[in-house]
Amino acid sequence: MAAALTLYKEELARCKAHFDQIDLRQERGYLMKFTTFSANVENIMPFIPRSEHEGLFRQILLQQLFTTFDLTCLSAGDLVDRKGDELTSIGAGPRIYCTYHLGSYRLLTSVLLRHGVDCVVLMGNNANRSQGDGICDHVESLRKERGMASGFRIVETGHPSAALTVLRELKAGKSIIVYVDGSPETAPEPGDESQFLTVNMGERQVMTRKGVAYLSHASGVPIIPVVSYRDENMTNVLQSLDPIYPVKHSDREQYCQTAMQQLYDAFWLYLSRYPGQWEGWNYIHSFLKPINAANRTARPVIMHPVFNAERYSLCELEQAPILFDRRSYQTYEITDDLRDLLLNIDTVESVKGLIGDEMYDELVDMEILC
Amino acid sequence: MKKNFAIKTINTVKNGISSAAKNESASLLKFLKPADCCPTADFTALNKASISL
Repeated sequence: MAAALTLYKEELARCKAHFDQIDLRQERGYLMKFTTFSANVENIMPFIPRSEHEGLFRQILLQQLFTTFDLTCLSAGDLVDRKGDELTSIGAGPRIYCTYHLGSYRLLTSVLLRHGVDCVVLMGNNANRSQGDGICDHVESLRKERGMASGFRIVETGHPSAALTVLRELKAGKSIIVYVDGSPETAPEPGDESQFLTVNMGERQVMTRKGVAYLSHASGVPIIPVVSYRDENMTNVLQSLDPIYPVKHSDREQYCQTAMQQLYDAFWLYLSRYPGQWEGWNYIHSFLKPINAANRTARPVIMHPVFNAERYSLCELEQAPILFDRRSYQTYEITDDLRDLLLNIDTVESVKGLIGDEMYDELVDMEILC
Repeated sequence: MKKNFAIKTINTVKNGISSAAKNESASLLKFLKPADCCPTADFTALNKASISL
């Protein structure tokens, strides 16, 4: 096992060495993706200074590379450090494992299958298209090389009968694995409101699907929160947390609210410790509950206007300059001249005189100038 | 030449960046497959369908 661990770490180090050679800023789409990521971190974890965001972003991309590697490396599943009662002694009977896109998040499925747990993984339709084959290949390798005999299937969340299918699987004694922090395709759409509830997450509130808690209540199966993270020694850790038990004949909606908040509270502790390992930073804005804009009573008089870089970022999209509102995620197309002005505003004697009263007032009202 | 200062909203989808931005940022992930990011590297272990150390 020690030799396998050494070899595994060598592979990761080699992975990292190649990743470090990539100049991310030269990659198409980097600035837009990074800016969205940075706004998400700032809105949810404002205590992380903006100067650390780029390093965090690199960590996440590297983490995604490691996760891809772990899916192809059967030994990665052997080397996992399991913690928590539900994972150190994996018992019989169905469970609803609720996990997150933190660390090497696909290893939970591999570990449960190796311990004889029949698993059903809930995935979005697009995620299944992009990752489903890799997961099925991994399962097939476990069957061939390790003699694993556990049952496995993927259920697409977008399918109309997904909930019924999962309920049947739970009643048949199988366990479910769900990623409760969502994915880009499971974000709320108009008309979906009844499927979501609101939970606190850091400085903001997010909309989360309540279906998993509903299934737990309807089936009487407990929810087991599980976090995955890579520790300082590069070892993958799977940690199960306190189970959430549904109470028979209790109010279902109330249970959904309490359970989902507990799942996010449990996650928050680990996200705070390993913010560079959460893939969700790239899409959590789709789940954020909008905040009401403060009503400003009167337009302020500004003696020396400056560009409000706290709130807005200048980016390029398809080689055109754009302005990104980090608070509302609104994107604006601007002319080259306006971009040049915002970048060099301290060299302009009279901003109002240059751009005219109407445009000046608009920029002040939008808090682009402050 | 007279300068042109103008600004207009390019996305109106609630909570979302425009589809163009999504498409552009999606391309960033192209190098996340080891085989693509290191085409000339000796990554035999990584490129195999599954490996057992």
